[in-house]
Amino acid sequence: MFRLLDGSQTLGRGWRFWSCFLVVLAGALIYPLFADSYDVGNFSYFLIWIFMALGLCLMWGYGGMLSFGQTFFLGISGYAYGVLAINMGGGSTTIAALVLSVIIAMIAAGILGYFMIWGGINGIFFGIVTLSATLVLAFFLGQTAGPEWHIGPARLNGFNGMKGMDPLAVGDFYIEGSALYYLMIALIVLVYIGLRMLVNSRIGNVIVATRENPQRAEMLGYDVRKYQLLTFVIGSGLAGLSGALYTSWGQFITPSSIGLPAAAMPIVWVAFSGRSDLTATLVGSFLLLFGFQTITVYSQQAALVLMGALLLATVMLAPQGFVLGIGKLVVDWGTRRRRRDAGPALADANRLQSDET
Amino acid sequence: MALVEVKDVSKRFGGLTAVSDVDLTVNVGEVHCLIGPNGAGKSTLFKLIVGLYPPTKGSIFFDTVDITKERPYARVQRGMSIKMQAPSVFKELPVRQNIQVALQERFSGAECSAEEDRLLTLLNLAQDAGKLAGALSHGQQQWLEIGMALALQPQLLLLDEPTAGMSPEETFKTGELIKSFNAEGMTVLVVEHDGILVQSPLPAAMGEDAERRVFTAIRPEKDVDGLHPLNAGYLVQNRGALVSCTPAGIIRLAAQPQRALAIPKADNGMR
Repeated sequence: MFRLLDGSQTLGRGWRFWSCFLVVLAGALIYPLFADSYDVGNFSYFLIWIFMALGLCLMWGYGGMLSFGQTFFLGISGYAYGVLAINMGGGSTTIAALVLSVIIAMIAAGILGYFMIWGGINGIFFGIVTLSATLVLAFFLGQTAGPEWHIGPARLNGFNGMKGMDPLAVGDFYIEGSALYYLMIALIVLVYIGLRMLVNSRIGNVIVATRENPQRAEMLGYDVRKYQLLTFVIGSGLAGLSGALYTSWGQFITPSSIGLPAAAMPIVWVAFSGRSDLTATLVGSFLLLFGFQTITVYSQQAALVLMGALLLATVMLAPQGFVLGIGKLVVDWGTRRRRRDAGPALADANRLQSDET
Repeated sequence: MALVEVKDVSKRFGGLTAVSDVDLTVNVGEVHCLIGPNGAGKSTLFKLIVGLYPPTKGSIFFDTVDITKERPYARVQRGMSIKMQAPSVFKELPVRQNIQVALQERFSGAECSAEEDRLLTLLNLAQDAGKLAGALSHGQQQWLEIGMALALQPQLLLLDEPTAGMSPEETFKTGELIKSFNAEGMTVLVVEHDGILVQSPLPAAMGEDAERRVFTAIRPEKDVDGLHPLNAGYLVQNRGALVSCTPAGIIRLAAQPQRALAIPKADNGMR
């Protein structure tokens, strides 16, 4: 069990990392006691997007599939939550609506993924097809303004978006404010730990092997298509989780959450953070969302331009990702210092050895 | 007993016929060498056997089961394993993990680590276990891939030019390795470019038991008239684009394989 948590697919291992993890978690847990409710609500909002980013990290960084379709599944699940919550009534049924809408997104991912992966689409074309699907959905929902576009009492409302659904609730208790914040933290810890265990498992081994060389992986007896589909369904399902949570959080969703600018966002977050590591993606995405929100208060255009500039800088300066790069520097520095402590002779021996090999 | 039977198989790529009407039988326990010049269709035939290409015509049997329509992974699960011509390893993964991916379906936990160690030592890669596979030298990558292919403990091991880019010692060790696995009952089908084969100690290293060492020559269409000296006395089939020797025409190189294969370049009318 612990071997899976601490395995080689994930950076950040050993007691140092996990003590940092616990400190950050403890900080996150006591944060609402000090902050005002507006900030806590804002933090919940940032955390919504983390699932989508982690899903993309799994698909792109570990699986080698650049999906431009995170907002496609976010949209499907977000709208599904709205339709289900309105049709099934409020209260505890909203929990069922959340679960169902994530399942719907995963089924959609299963269907789209099946045709793409069994059809042999890979590399850049994977991105193109998923982007096309995303744009189609955004345009389709944009033209649903008329009253004829409704599912039960739920009107889709075109560009103005869907509203009027209940937020998540248990009985009469609405999950809002700190309650929502704690729910988010719990979900993130669960998803993060779950993904860590997945990528360090045998399945994770095959997923990264497929990224490196699908033909070789197949020649070792793995049906790589199944592993790719699994990766795609899990990654897209996480985008679905973000979508349902988003709709529930704001009690509205519009096609602009799906369209091109929104679809590019997860890619910027994950590329900036370092797509090949879950922890880097988690930390980096949170920082970016926090920064983005802070700047958006002054000017949304400026925030978008900054995002573009960041992506450019990432691609040019740190193709592996900034957060990942900094993380590796810290680890290297730590190792070097420990080596020095262990004595110069040993350090020399190590250097000699590395020269030889 | 035949482990692999290729029956009347052709493969066309557009207008190019890479392999035409080939029959090939590999018996259990053999070290079977497929030789021929560049462009003869050796690698294509390999890819047909392992399922990377579907044949245009004909059928392929493995262990008496028709596998013509099976996908590569299913064939591998039946007991085949291949090392490709160009080294194909998981470059961004550490060497040990490369081996692990190959082993994990049959071993778990401590057993898996022990088996990893055994293979890494066998392949002379124990010191580089933590390195990324892409950082290995060409020859080491070849070894790693052979190791991954061996890790599956296949009934049939397919090696496409396993010694290309290797030093003479490495080539010799590869031969020894193949020999030892063959002695344990593994059937081996090797592709070697004939020119390389002449110089390499591989055939000499592969088993003193001549009965188990079989050579099949394969050559392109246009040279059918000017018979390759190697084939001259042995060729029985000559149909269409490509000639292969059926079991009746197997070239057995018993006493002195080196001499039998040492064809003067000038006489080699196949290029």
